[in-house]
Amino acid sequence: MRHSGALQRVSMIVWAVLPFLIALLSVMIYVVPLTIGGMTIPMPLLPFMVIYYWSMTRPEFMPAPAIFLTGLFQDVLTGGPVGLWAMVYLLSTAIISTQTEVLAGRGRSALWAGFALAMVIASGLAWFIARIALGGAPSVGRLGTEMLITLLIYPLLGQLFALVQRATIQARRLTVNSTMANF
Amino acid sequence: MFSGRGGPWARGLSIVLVLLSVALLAIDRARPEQSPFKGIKRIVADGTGPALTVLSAPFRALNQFSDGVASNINAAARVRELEQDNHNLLQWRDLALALHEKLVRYEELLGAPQAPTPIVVTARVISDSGGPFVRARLVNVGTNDGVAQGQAVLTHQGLIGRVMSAGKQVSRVLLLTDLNSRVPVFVVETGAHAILAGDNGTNPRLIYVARDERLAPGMRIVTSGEDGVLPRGLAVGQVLKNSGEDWQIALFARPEKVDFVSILEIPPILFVEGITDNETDDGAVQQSLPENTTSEAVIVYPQTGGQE
Repeated sequence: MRHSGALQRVSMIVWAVLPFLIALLSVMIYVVPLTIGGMTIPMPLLPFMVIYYWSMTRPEFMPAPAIFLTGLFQDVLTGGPVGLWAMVYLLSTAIISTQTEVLAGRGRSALWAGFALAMVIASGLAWFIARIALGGAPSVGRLGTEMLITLLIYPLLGQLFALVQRATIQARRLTVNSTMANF
Repeated sequence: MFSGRGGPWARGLSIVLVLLSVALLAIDRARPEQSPFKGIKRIVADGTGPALTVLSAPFRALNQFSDGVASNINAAARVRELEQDNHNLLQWRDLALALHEKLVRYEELLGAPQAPTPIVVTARVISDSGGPFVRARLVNVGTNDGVAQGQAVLTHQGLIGRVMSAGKQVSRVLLLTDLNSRVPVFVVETGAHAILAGDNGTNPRLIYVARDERLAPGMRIVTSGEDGVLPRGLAVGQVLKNSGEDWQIALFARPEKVDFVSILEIPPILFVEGITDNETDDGAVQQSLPENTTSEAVIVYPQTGGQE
C-alpha cells in the first residue's frame, strides 16, 4: 500500500512538472532549422506559446521560476545575451496576467486575442532590451515575421496544450481519488 | 504590474527573478568576449547536441521532401542549366590547373614556403540561429574532431562564418551576418583592406575602408588573413551597393540555407627546435636548420583567438 502511495506521489509530481518539461522541449524544437522548398522559415516562438497558455489557464503549473528557467535555457542554447528572453517572458507574462479575468474562461478566440496582445508586448520588450544589450538596433523584419508566424500557429498548438491540460487534470483527479480510497 | 500572479510571495519572487535576469544580462554584456557564461553555453550545447540531432530529423525529412518536389517540377530546365555550368566549369578547371602548375614552379624558384594544406571537416548544422537577435549555428563536430575556436566555416560557395566556441561534440558557429561578427577582408580588384561587419541583416557591411578607395558594385571580397586566424583568400562575397554610409556585401554563400558545412582546420604548427642564428661577416643573420628538416616546415601561424 505504501509502495503504491509513493508511486502516486511520483505520478502527481510528473503531471505537475509536465508543462515545464513541455516548455523546455519547445525551446529545443524552436532552435531546430526549418527549411521548406529551399526557403528558410523562422520557427514560431514555441516557448512563449507554452508559457502563455499555462499562465492563463493554470498558472500554478507555470510558476515564475519555471518561466525564468525556460527563458534562461533559450538564452543559453541560442548563444544570445543571457537573461534577455528570461526577462521578456517574465515581464510580458506578468503584464498579460493582469488581464486573466478578462481573457481566460471566455473561449478560444479570447485566449488568442490575449496571445496577440502578449506577443506585441513581448516583441516590443525583446526589441528594446536587445537594442540596449547588443548596442545596435536589431532588424525589425525578422522579429516581425517570427511574431506573425507564432500568432498564426498559436490556435493549432493551443488545441494540443488543451488536450495535455485535460489529461493532466484527469490524471490528477484519478490519483487524488485513489489516494482518498486508500485512506 | 505583478498583481495578476498569485499572492504576495509569488509576486515578490517574480520581481526577484526579473532583477536576477537584469543582473545576468549586465554581467554577460559587460565584457562579451570574457563572459562567464561561455562555458555554460558550451556545456549546454554539447549536452543537447544528440537531442537536437534527433529533433531536427523530421524537419530535415520535410525539407528534403519539399526540395525533391520543387526540383522535380523544373528538372528539365535545371539539367540544361547545369550542363551549361559544367561546360563553363571545365574551362575554368583547365585554367586553374595551368595556373596552379605555374604557381608551384614560381614558388620553387623563389624558395617560398608552402602553406600547409588545411584539413577539411564536414559538419551538419543542427540548430538554427534560434531567434531574431542572434546569427549563429550549432554544428555536430567539436574538439574531438579537431575543431577549435576561430576556424573558418564554409560551404562550396564561400565563407559563412567562424567557430565561436568548440565543445567536445558540438560547436557554435558565428555567422558573418551576426552583429558581433568582424572579419578582415580585402577587395580583389583594388587591394583595399577593410573589415566585414555583420548587422543581423542579410548583407553585412564594409567598415574601415580607406577613404580614397573607390569601390563599385560587383567587386569581389575575400578574406585578408590579417587577423592571423582565418586563411587568406577565402571567397566571401561581392560589393552590392552603397547604403548611404557603408558598402553592403552580397555573400556568395547564404548562411540561412546551409545544411552541411566544411570547417577548415589548419594543421598544428610544429616549432622547429634547434634553430641557431649565425651572424655572417657582413652582419646579416642566417638561420641554420637541423639536418633532418626542410625549409618548408618553418611556418609559424599565430595562435587562434577569435572573438566570442
